[in-house]
Amino acid sequence: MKLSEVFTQGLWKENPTLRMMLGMCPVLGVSTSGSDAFGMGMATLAVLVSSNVVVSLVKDYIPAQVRIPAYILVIATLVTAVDMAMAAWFFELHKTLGLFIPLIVVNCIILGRAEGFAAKNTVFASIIDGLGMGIGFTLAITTLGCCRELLGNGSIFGVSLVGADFKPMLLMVLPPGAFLMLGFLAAAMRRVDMTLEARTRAAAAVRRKRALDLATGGGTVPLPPGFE
Amino acid sequence: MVSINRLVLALVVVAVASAVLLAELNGITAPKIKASQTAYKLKAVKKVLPPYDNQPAADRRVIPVPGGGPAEAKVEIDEELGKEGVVVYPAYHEGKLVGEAYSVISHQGFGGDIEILLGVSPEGRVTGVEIITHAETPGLGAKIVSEASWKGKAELVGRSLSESLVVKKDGGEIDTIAGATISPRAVCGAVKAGLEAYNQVLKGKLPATPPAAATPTTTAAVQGAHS
Repeated sequence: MKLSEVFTQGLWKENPTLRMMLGMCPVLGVSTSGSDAFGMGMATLAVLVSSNVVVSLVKDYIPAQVRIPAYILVIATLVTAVDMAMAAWFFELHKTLGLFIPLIVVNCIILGRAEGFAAKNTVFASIIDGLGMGIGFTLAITTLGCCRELLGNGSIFGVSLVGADFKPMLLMVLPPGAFLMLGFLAAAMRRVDMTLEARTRAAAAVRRKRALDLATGGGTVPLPPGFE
Repeated sequence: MVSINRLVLALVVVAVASAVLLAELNGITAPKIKASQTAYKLKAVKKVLPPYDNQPAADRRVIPVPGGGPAEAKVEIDEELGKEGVVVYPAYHEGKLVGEAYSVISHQGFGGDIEILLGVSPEGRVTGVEIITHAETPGLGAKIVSEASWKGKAELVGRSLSESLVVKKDGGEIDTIAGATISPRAVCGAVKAGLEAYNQVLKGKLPATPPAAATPTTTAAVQGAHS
C-alpha cells in the first residue's frame, strides 16, 4: 500500500469513528461541545502517533503471546505521560478535559492500530498511519461535537450563533443525542459515497458508449450473434 | 514455543521502562502542576473577594478547626505555614477587613466532589463564588464554572444565610441548568455549608486590621531590593 493511501484511508474510507465505529466511549462522552471534542481529538492523535512509533519499534522483541498486555502497558504509559504533560503546560485545557484523558487508554482505536498496523509495518509508515487515523478521528469527533453543540446549545466552539428566542434541542447534548447524531453523520457519509459512486458509474457508462459510437461510426451497435 | 522466562522477561522490561519514564516525567511536571494550581487558586481568590489593597496570599491564615471542622469547609495542610486547618485568604481595604475567601467541598456533585472557593463579607454575605475543581459532565454540569452558562453563579452573590440559597427546582430562587440540576444544587449546598461554617468557626478569627499594616514600607522595600 502506498503511503498516501495509508494516510487518506483513516480520513475517509476507513475512518475509525464513522466507518469502523471504534472508540465509541470517548466519542459519545466528550462530543457535547466542539472545543472539548477537538481537545480530545488532539490528545488521542498524540497518543496514537506515539504508541504506533513505540509499538513498531519494539514489535520484534515482544513475543506474540504477551503482545497485548505489553501494548496496553505502552499505551497506558503514554496516556499518563500526555495527562501529566497537559496538566503542566496546558493547565486550563486540562481543567475541562482532564477527566477524559485516562479514557484514551480504553479507546480501541489505539490498540487496534497498534495491533493491526504498527505491529506489521515500519516506523515511518506507522507514523503516517497514526497521523491519518488520528486526524480522521479528530475531524469526526469535532464535527459531531459542533453539530451537537449547535443544536443543543445554539453555539459552536462556545460562540453563540443564534438569537435569544432559539429553543435549544436539549436532547442533543444529552447522551442519546450522541447516538442520534453519530447515526446521522454516518448516514450522511454513506450518502456522499453513494452519490460519488453513482457519478463514476454514470461517467464510465458514457465513456463506454462514446467508444462504441466511435467504433461503429455512430450507428447502432450490432448485437453479437445469437442475441438477435 | 517461546519459553515462559522469555515472556516474563519481555513484560518485566516493558513495565520497568514505563515506570522509569513516568517517574522521570513526574519529577519534571509535578512542580509545574503545583505552581499552576496555586496560580489558578489565587486568580479565583482575586475574583471572589471585594476590592482590596493587601496581599491575600501573603496574609493568609490557617484557622485550626477542632474535630475536623464543620460540614464541608475544606481542612487542608498548608505546607508553607506548617499548620492544618481551613486556609483563609483575607481582603483588607483601607485598613479594614472587608472579606475572606476559603475553600468549601461539596460531596453532592454528579461526577464527584466539587471544590468551590467562597468569598464572604464580615456580615456573612457571599461576595463571590468560583469553582476550583469538579468532575461534572462536560457540556452539562460543567457549565457551573462560568456566569455565562449558569446565571445562578452570579445570583448567589450578595446573599446571606437568611436568604434563599436553594435552586428554583427545589422551590428556591437560584437558576439551574437545563438538564443538569444536580451540579447547581451541589454548588448551592456548598455555599450554604460554607456560610454556616463561617458563622460557626471562622467569623472573628482574623485580625480586623491588616497584619502587615505596621510595616508595609518594610515589605515594599524588601520586595524592591529583590526585584
